[in-house]
Amino acid sequence: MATPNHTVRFVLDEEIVTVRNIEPTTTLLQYLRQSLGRTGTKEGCAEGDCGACTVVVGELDGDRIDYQAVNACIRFLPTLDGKEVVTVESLAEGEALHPVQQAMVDKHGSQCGFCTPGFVMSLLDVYLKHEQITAAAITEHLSGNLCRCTGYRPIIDAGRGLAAYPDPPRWHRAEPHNPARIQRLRSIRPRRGGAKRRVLCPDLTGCARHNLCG
Amino acid sequence: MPATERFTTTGKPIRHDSAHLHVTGKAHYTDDIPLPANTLHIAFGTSRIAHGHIAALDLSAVVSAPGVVRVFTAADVPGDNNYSPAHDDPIFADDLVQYIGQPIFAVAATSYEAARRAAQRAGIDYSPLPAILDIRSALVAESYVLPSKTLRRGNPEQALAQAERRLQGSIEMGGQDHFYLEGQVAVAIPQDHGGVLVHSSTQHPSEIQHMVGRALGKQAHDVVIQCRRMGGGFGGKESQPALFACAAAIVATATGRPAKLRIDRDTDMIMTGKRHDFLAEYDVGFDANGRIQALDLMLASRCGYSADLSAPVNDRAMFHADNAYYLEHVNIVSHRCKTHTVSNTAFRGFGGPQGMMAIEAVIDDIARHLGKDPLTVRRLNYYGIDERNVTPYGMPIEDNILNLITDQLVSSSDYLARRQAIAKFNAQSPVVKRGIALTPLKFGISFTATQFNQAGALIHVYTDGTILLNHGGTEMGQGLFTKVAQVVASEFGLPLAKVRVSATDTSKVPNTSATAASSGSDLNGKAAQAAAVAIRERLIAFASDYYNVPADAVCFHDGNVTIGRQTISFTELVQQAYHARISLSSTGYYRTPKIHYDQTTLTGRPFLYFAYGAAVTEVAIDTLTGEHRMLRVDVLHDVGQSINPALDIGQIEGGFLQGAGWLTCEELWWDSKGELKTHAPSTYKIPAIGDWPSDARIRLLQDSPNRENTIFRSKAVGEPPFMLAYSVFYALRDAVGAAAGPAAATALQAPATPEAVLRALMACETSAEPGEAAEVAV
Ligand code: FES
Ligand code: FES
Repeated sequence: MATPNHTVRFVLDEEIVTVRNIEPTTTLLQYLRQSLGRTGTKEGCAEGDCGACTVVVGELDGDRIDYQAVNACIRFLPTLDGKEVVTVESLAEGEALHPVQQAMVDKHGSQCGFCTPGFVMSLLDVYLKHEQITAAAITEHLSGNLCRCTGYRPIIDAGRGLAAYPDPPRWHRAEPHNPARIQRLRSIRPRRGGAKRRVLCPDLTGCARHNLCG
Repeated sequence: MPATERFTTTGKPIRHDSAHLHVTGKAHYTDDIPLPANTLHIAFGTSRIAHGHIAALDLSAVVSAPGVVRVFTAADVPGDNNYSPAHDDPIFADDLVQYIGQPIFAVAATSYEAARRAAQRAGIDYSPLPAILDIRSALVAESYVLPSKTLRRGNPEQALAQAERRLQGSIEMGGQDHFYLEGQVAVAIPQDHGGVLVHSSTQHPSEIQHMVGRALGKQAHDVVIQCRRMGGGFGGKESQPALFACAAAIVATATGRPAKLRIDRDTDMIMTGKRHDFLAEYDVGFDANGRIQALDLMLASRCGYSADLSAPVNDRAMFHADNAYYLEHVNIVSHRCKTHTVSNTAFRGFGGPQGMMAIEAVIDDIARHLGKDPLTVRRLNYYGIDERNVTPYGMPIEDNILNLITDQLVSSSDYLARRQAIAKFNAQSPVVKRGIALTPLKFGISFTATQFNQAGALIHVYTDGTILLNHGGTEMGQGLFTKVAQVVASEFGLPLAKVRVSATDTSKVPNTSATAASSGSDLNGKAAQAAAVAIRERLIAFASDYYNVPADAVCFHDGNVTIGRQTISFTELVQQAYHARISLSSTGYYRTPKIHYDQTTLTGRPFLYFAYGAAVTEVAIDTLTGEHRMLRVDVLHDVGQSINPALDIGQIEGGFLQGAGWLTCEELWWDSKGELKTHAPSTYKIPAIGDWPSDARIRLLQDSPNRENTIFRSKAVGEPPFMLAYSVFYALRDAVGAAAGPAAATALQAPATPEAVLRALMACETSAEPGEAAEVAV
């Protein structure tokens, strides 16, 4: 396990966040909400089953970045060492909404809005991965997000309509290959071996494939 | 000319007023309000047994836990240790505990985590008492939280005895957790005068204000409750938030520090009330065609340990036990069972869904008994227009559009042809069976407690021509703030952007009713309209005087005001009026007309009007696993003249799927000790994105304005669509019937989980008559 004086570094909105002396069991959700005051990411269940806390985490994968939607409520902060975190606050450029946000507005995809940041981030995950978004892809990527208000139809419509929006200035489909982002992640890459072994891997092998592995 | 070019903003699919804030994460919920560093965080210590006395309470380890500032028990409540108007809900149990999860003490600590950890360290000894945990045991023990009630008309005993045919049966329906995505939360900030400001996620700020005041031993004017928005309510934030607001206020006033109480999902599901589960037993007499001649119906609900809102919930269940059907000779008995489980509460439909489910089961059973298409039997029993049109509680139905809706839906959904196609499919498909059902709904609009049918609003027009609107309604996602803003913008002929709605605040509009009973827009829309019209009339009087034109030559439109031959901007007129010392602020008030209701005889006109709708659902079941899926849904729903079709469709779709959850996948399960075991989304399944049917055709009934003078002739839409989901349940029965015969179909209980479907299939395995098709409706 990461010791309390271990330093964790991750990228958030093009800046490197350095965290020292954090309880190793602090979750990403706690850190975002309580320490950074980024309250856009919500807690709906705190156990990985509702998706209200969904953020996107980027990880270096050779010469590209692999972005995945992640439940921040069950993701311990130390496991983000060397990674990039994208939250609902990261997407809009001034008043201009990202397509996944604009589509949710245009299709009336939010009612109470509490699930919405999570859906927006899961939609970002689909958006970054697919040029043409099918109903099946939406159902698959959004199956971990619960909404109690809408009945999901407008959210499905929002996802299906994404192709109609022009590319946004940030978080467009080329971001996984963005040299500046890759460079930034390289600059905080944890030392080989060191950080990795300190974090518990479910296979106890320190393998590279588990999210839990550093 | 009219004073305003109306409908400039009403009638349009305008987006939710907070949509941009929702999608960017900027929308503040109570948990997001920035707080000072010295804020205390609260956690409850709760009962681990369902019923018993507290023999010993040792809190020393809690007090000494890291970060703990103070611990509170019943002895620390400065005023009344109670958080409900029925006065049977202690904030902290003192001696007697009556459900697992009941709060006994609260710990205030420097962090959320510290408070929660400390709360676990209490040493509590109990002397257990026998616990009653379900409806049947409560009925046997005659354990009631409130007196039973009877609603009766005609001579049911005699009519039953003389009926051509007679059938007895029962249906059980489970409860439902609200599962609002935002859990219960309150933040209390002490004020310099000794009072408190509480940010509460609540549908009922005025009630919270009074409960907090009494708990503190203070007056209503010492307490302010604010709520900008909730992350969902569904009835679960009507009475329940008072507990959290009271505890936070007690801590804040005692310590002089802001205090926040937010519970996690599991605690929320364990500690807060839910939809009442019901048992309905009936004895029905009918003729050979299936027309009901007499009905004796017993409704029993699990109320939990205290009264809470169980009286009006069960009253509404009785009032809706007719749904769309005329019951000439009828006896409805309602038992309000006391159990040692959490106190059940308001939930979308407020007892209506359970009462209506009962009569739908009766009708479905009759149809299957007679081998007829249930739709034929439903239509045969529909209320008439000029006769057979008075409800069991004596209210003539003046706005019946059941046949209009049913005719349109039968044709647009192609019901008859599909029923035949399904019979053909089933004859060739041994494992997967399909079923279809069309169910109607009629739902009474108004609070049954007449005094709640009033509302207030407050409007300020500023000299730059912008408007700040406040009203007593609360925003929980339904789009109320958007609709009321549309109303006000329309009255002034202004673009919507000129109107801002501020947080609901008991210091701005007093003595408000809960945003409940689907009445939010009806009541607050009218109150806000009254305030807007009052200011507009002043502006008209001023303009007519100042410009020397007749009053009817002044018209507000497109952000401008045409006065005789000239047109000036709204802002210009407002500034001129200000200089002439015309008041630009007004309250508005509304009370629902025509309604009256006698609590003792249960008769009168409790509702101003009815909302109607119907749905056709086709399902498929796998007879080997019990799994099922919706294949297609057609909905035709009546919202009168819609103020905002996009918001209304949203309510219909969301209500439908929530209803489908109640009837098919949401199962609350308590163990034999009375402990709720399904207290998180891992074990309690609400519908997910894959549950929305891929073929859904949701439509608003066109050209059907409310016959009553409601706001722009619209109809309430919050609750009624929930009941569209009956079509899912009865389609499942239809499919089960196709697989295993009518007795299996009627054996299906709610929620129709895959297990329940299998149970129904197996209960009647011997009576299977594959390929049997119901008579087709005509
Ligand atoms: S809060 Fe529910 S999945 Fe994280
Ligand atoms: S909009 Fe309320 S939970 Fe999705």
